[in-house]
Amino acid sequence: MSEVRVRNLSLAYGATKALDDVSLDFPDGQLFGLLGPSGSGKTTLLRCVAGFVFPDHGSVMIGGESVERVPVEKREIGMMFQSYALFPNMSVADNIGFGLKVRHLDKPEITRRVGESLELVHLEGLGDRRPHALSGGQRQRVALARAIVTRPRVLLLDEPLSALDKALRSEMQVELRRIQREVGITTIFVTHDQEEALTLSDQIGILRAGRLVRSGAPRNLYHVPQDRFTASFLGEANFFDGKPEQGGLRLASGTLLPWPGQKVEGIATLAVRPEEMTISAAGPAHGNETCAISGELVRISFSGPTALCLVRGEGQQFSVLVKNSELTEIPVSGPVKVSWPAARSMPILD
Amino acid sequence: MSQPRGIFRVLGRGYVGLVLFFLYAPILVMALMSFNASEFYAFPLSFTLDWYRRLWGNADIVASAWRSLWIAVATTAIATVLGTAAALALFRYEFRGKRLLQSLLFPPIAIPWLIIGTSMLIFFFWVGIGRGTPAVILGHVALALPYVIVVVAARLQTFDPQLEEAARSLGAGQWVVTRDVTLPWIASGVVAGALFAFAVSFDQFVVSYFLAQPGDATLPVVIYTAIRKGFTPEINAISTIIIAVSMAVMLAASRFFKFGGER
Repeated sequence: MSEVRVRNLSLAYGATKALDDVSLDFPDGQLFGLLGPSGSGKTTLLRCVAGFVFPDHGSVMIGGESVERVPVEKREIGMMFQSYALFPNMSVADNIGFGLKVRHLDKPEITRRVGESLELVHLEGLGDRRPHALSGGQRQRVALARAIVTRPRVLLLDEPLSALDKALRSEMQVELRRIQREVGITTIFVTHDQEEALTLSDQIGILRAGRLVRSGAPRNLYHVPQDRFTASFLGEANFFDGKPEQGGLRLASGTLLPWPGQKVEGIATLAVRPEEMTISAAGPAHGNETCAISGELVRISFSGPTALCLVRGEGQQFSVLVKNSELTEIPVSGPVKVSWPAARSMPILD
Repeated sequence: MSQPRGIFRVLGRGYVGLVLFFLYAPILVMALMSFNASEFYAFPLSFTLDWYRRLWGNADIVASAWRSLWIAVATTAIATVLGTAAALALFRYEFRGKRLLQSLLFPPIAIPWLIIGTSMLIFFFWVGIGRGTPAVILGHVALALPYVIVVVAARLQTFDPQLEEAARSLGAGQWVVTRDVTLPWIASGVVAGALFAFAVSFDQFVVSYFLAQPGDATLPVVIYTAIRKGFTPEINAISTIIIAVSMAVMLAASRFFKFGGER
């Protein structure tokens, strides 16, 4: 068992709180994504687990063992850095074998395990190359192989894919996921890219200004965000503020947005994802099930398969995502009706 | 980079030529005269190695040359180790008073050697070391240290600290990290710093003059004493040798350390 637990972690640099009472469980064998804007404390949290920084308060447990007094080199972690940090004076094989050499394994065993790792990351035959003679994607694979060849208890990834271009990044996302599953290692990775977090993670923790905002499975967080920050940081969201009534949320214009299924009384904000909304020419509203507001189409930004429509209504602006094929059915500008199923409104508690 | 044109190109080349002329003409004349048979620098030049032969027979000069050499080697060894360690401490780690120490590093380079020499003499007598070879080596090390630190630190600026973190995450302790990751990266800077230290010590006159005992002076001091007694082409010969050694050292240093940054 090598789950990682942090409890009540706090760390301040002068007046700024890098971490503010963070408690999280990183389950055994799962891939856990730490997501947040820069300065949210996600990297600091990762470095606390690694042992590069020490918290002012709180504890870090790896596999049930408290590691506060254990230095980095004795924590049995594997870490992959944003810059990959491959040793430029060593060959690919020596880079991967470094952790084994440090552990005084004998030469044939090192060679065997380095060979296995090269195979795992699909870099057979490149062991003699120097890091500078590799492409970005290859370097990334070497860094990953080096981090896991020592069979660490936990794998830590600091913005692992941010240095790659977009096409290579999605390819490496798949690779990373495959290798992580094959090795079955508890993995914590830091990213500021919400799409990457959604794609890769078994679980996501969202941080903001040193505090853990929410954590949970990607789909759950996306569909039931509960707070404004999670709703807008994980994907896009339109917010509607109003006065709660018996039947729903009364907006300032008088429009009533019916409550989404479950009993949510006293909620003053509903959020709706742009892709849940439909846009059509202005007309009478139908059915009690549907939320509908009228507005004015301001702008359409076309982006290939989809287009984002900017609509002004209810005293604010909001966006509606439509499929390319639906574009022909809506007016180019002027009064429109935007509607969505009431069940798609997400209650925002803060 | 664009090339200057027309008159500016000519002027530029002329200027570079002049600079090189002023730098090297005296040295070339001296080197030539060390091979001239005439003691009074008469032309035409008639080639001879006499002065070098006489030099070899001059026990004072030969002995002081060996002394200078081993003092320079000792200075190099001590200053390189201390300077590299200091550069690592000053530019890789955080500690109290770091800024102050960093800023105190450079002023000694600007203090005139005459004054440094005098103050060292006073200080060494005050603490009981007095004059002699240990004092000379201590003095040379003190002079060479800032140069080593500056050169090694310049190389350290390009070092990615994540390399050390990566090594630690792989289970390497402090010593292994330094040996296998940090030192290989700064090696070229360390070698360049060592060559600087050698040059500073081997060419040092003022501090050696103050700190050496009359019996065991270094080569530059012996040359100075000889010139005071009367100038002979022997001096040209030994000076030519010193220049050849110093230039070889600095050319070697420039291979490891790019003056004026990367090109």
